[in-house]
Amino acid sequence: MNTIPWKPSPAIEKEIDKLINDLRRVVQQESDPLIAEYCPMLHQPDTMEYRKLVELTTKMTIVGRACCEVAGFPFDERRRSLSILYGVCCFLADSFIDDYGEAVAQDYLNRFEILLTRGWFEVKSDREKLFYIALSRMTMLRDIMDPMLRQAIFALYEAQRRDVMLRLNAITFQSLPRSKQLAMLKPCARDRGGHTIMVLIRLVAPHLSLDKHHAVYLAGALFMYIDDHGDCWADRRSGRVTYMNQVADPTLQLRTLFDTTISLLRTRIKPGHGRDLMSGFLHRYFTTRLEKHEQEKVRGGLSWAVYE
Amino acid sequence: MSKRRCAEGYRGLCMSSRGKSDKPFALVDQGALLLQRLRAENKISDDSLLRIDYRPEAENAPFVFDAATGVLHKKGCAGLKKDSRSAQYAVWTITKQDLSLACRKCKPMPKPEQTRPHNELTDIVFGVMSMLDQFSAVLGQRGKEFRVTDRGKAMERTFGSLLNNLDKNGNQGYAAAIKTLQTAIDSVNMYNEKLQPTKRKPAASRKKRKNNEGR
Repeated sequence: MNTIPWKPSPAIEKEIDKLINDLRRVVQQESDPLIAEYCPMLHQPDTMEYRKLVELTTKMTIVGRACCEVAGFPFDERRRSLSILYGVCCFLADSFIDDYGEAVAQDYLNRFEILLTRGWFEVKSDREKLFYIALSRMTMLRDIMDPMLRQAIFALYEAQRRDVMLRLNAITFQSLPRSKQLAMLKPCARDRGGHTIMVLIRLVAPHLSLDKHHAVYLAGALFMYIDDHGDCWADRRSGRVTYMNQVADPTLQLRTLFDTTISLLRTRIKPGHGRDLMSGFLHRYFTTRLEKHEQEKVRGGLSWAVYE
Repeated sequence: MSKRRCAEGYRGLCMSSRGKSDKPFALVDQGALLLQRLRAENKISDDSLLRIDYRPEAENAPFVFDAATGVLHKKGCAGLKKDSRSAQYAVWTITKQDLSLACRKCKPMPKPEQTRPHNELTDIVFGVMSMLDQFSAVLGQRGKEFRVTDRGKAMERTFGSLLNNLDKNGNQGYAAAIKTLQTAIDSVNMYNEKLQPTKRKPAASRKKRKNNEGR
């Protein structure tokens, strides 16, 4: 593997290892009763899907903790619960959009728009029941009417809808010049990741200043680019077009994005444990997904990646 | 309440390994699901319940923050980038600290007089009234059914004896509370009347308009 310009300190690396293990356990303890009650089908610890849910929620909880520390708030039990609930929601929303075909994705987006514009949600399955319950519990723990939070939630929905529309209009999209395709795909991934982290930060640390929002937004975008690079081969197999599986040299492009984002994080955010944790976890995510990408190149899109 | 009790009370509201015995959350869960089921079964009004979408309010905010570029603009600034429109947030107030992000073209400055409209007491009263209005059919039916149960009858007796047993001071306090409530309701009604786009016209003018419309 090529050298990476910025690396977290060994102490932070060690702490991230411990934090991942500790939070993974907490995520399971806290989300298991909820999953078992509302979506028993998903509550099967040996399945890949359950493990993915736990990993994604653990990621969200670590990022939530880093955001809290950057904003100067303690990562207390309420904020941890919000991060976990949000992680469960993100996992389920991603699966509605990515795993069950275009018709299901479109149907979910239509009903989710009604939820966001009028408050009504037609629950059609146990997975959707779990999603709706996790959402309603979040509204118990945070003032959901905060203007920035409301904007972030709706912007995330719109980014998801744009992503699905690109897939639905694949033939028209492919007829566009390549430069235009990339110019559409890059902001699509940026917004999906950026608004995802904006929602999280408004849930756990709503008083963060605007200058930090920019750095955190780009960190969220980087998470999405890294995700898409890790899923590159699986996405290609299922015909899903992303910026990272279309760009000429994805590894080089991702390294450039990583370097610029880390540099911005370290300029805009004051030195401290929160910044080290965010940068360190991004580095962990980056390196493990580069490995996943290389493994899947050989194995064909099915390898499993955690954060160790 | 002691710190320990606070912590335990809070733990009841978040997810815990106690699962199904988490009563406060279980109630909220059931309430949230019931609400959606009632609407799906057309048992309550289809009117809007809660709007997260902030676009209508965002239109009036004086500043725009571009999260992708990290630049803060005045609304309508020519420097706002088209390709980051999807990453822009409406902002109501800015601080001196935010000026480090200010666009060099439009130079946004803090405006203490222009702040985000907050909920007034009347908004909250209207909120409660709208909920009662939206769910009046279900609540009324539930009330009728509950009234004839043993618990309902017991509660009715308790209310009755509570009112009868009020001493002189209590009765005065009760009367004052009722009067205050009545004044509040009158104020809300007056406010509501003023907000109505058209007032009901007298019978003669309604008839006249009807004739005009018929032509």
